[in-house]
Amino acid sequence: MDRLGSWSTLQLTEFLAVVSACGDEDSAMRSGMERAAEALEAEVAALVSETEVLAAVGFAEGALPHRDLLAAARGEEHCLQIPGAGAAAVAAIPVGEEPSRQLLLARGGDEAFGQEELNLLRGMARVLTLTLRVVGALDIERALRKKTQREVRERKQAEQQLAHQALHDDLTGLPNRSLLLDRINHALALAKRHGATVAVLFADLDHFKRINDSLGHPLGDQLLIAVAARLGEALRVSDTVSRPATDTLARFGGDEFVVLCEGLKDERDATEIAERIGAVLARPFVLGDEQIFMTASVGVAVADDLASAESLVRDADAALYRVKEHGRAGYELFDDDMRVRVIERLQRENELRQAIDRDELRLFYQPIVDVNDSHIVGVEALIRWEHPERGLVSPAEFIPLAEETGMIVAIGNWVLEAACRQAAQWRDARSPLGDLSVAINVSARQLDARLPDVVSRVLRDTALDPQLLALEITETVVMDQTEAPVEVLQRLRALGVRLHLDDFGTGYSSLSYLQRLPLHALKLDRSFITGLGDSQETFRIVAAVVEMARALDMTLIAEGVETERELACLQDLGCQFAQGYHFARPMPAEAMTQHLGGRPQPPAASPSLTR
Amino acid sequence: VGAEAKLLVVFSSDRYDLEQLIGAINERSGGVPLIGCSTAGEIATSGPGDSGVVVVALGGSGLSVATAAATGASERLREAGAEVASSLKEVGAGPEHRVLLMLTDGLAGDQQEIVRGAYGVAGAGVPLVGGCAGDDLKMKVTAQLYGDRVLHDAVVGAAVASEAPLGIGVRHGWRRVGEPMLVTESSSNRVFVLDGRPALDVYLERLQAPEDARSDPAVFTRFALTHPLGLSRRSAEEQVRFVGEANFEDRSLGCIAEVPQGAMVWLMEGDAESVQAATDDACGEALAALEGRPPLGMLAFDCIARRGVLGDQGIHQEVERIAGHAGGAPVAGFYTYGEIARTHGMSGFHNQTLVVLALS
Repeated sequence: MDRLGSWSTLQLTEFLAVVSACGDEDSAMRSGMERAAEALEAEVAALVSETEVLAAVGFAEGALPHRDLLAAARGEEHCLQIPGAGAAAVAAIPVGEEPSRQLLLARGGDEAFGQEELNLLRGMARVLTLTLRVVGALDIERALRKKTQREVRERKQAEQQLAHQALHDDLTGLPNRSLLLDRINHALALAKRHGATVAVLFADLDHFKRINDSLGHPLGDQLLIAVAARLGEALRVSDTVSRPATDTLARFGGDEFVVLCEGLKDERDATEIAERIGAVLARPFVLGDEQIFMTASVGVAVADDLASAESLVRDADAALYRVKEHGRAGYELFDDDMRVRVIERLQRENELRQAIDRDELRLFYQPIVDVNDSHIVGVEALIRWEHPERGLVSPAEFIPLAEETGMIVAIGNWVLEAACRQAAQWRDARSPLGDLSVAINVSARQLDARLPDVVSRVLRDTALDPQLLALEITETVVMDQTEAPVEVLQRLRALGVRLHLDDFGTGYSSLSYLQRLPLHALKLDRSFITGLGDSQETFRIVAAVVEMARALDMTLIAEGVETERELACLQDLGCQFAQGYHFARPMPAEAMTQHLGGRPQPPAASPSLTR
Repeated sequence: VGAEAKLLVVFSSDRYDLEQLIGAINERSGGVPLIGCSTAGEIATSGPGDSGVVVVALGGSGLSVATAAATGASERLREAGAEVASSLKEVGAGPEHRVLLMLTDGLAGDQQEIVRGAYGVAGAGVPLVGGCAGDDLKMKVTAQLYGDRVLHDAVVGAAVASEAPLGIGVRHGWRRVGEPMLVTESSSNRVFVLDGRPALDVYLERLQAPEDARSDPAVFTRFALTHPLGLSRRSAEEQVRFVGEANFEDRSLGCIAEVPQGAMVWLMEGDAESVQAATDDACGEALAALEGRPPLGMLAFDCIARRGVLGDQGIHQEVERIAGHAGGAPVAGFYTYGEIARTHGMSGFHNQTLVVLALS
């Protein structure tokens, strides 16, 4: 008995070690059942509930005596007939949390299970029960851990996705502007160390806007994807380890693509890539039923020692601009001439920036008159830059620069405020000018959702009658953008200000589109007025425009009237208002007061712009 | 064994091109089902030998045989055992006495799992008997033979059903030495920590192992042959675990079958006398099951470790003893890396043991 005693203790530690190593409930039960049988040299082991045999070992396949085992579990049988092994004594011990579950062992031969063996078996059953409880908890824990790991993984993926999105273009999957600038800086640093040449190619698709306009944005997007793939063909594949010659293609936005070229021998390598870009784009693009021919203008800039990512891209852009000037579909290498112009432009940019701060901008006013009696019905405020060295600079010289750099918004707001202040001043001075409307030009970049708020604030600050303010918006601006301006214009109109369509005739306004816009007046572009009396055709066109304005119930103002003959034609055609050198040049506010003072006052019931 | 051969069992040294060998045997036998394996020495009626080939044919009208093989055993030990045991279904329900003869790759992992898999299909009614293939103690790769194929990492088996009784005897003749040790860390058949210290260190110290066994893997394996571990069992003899190799890096011991964590193990010792006594006992036990009939043949699965204890002289005496028990009937067998004999209970894997199958 002593020997058996120490033996059974050892069996229990071994059993505990084996069963607790099982990872799940099923294997713990099966393993526990087997180990108990092995320890007690039983031929047969089974796990049995009240109604079924959950697991069994020692029976040949298909020879499981269900009924006998269930009876033994209920304590009705103490001996089992095991096929091939004869009669076997049975031991049954409850196991697990469910009281009805029993561990059955059956051992052949004469020997019944002794008390010590039954004690061991109870110990094993207890160990198994505790293990199953732990394993059950582990199962839950494992499921939770799996869930957490999945969540962490998903979050990480989402973060990576976001990081990727932040640096890549959604449409083409190419690096975006910020990633490319980063790469360029990296390439410049490398090139400095290894003495290789870096270049940037700035490619702009020619007339891409027409594709979007005529075939729709979805097709335009498809074309951009196809162009991105085609551009990829023009790039060099890195072929040497010692001198990595790699090109990186990025989309800068819209139809602008930029290529970073590393490991170049000289600028010839860069222009070769530009030539290849021209070649790969020469094959037509087939999208659905459409065959599309596409060219690109490419500006090439090769880095010098002082280059930064920004300067290199800017230089390539300047070279691109030159290609556009020369009729597109080709490439230009950024050269010293361009460098000089770029530097000049940078200087002007700086000067213009300072112009606002230094109060160098001025407003000139040009009268708008009734063509029949030449009395003044309103004024248009026109900007001038009083440059400290160059004198008065015409807007044609600096407005495009302001548009490109975005300074136009600040300048436009200054114009708005200055004009309104002037109008209020005229009103407060009880000048006859105080009753006239002041028109100002609104740039495309100003015409966004914030504009009505700005206008509203300025009107409030100056207590100006909204009717006295007219906003002139060029036809092309309204036509280029689609839905958004209509809403902005409606909000502006709701403020009570007047809306004039400037440069009318230069865009492509359709009658139906004009009808949808909340406009008060059309300003007929000067190109229709110049030589009005000399060309029958122009005369007929203006006649049609007059009719159209009448049909749309809009006021028509003719711009750029310079001769008596032009004025006479307008009178004949029934165009009501006009402005131009024939009446008066733009002049400072004080001169305007004098100018008005020497002119006849309008009759009380005559037409006005504030009607 | 009989006029009509139903099964060929081949035990061969791996010095031979085994494919050529079984090709030649199959050609002569005309495709009688064949199983076999590579060895660490062969046993024939004439005595033990090395670098030899032993072929035994089983046959006769009262015998039916079905063979099976399972490959990729190391990845699925239990399944492999079960697959081979399913050959039992093909030998028919007629004959009363059955046995599943199994030859396994002892280097594939825990052999008790293979036995458990076979037992799950065969059940208590069918004894399991056999051994693990050898490779002359190189411990690199062993071969299992099946029909005309030479397999590795496999289990091959033959279900034998006989109208006449079959007898199995199992003995080792080893005894405990000194105090037991606790297996504080093990995984399946690898023992990492004994009594809280690296298993290899404890093992070498306790046995006062010679210097070259402490660094040379081949010397270690020869030394360990005669110094197995014993696991405490309910019945009289301990379950012996053959220590096959040591990992000198992580200081662990590799055994041929599972040494459970938490178990108590003893160092075991044997001598020529006790080992020879075990031979007689095993043969006696096998013959006793024949219900007084004379044996028609005996298969012996003799552990390579017993060879180490007995020496060259001793193994000749041992095989003579077995032949004596056979009483003129042929004897065939091989020196194994582990033995299979399950007659009662569920455990059926042994080490350092002689297993004898007597056919009548």
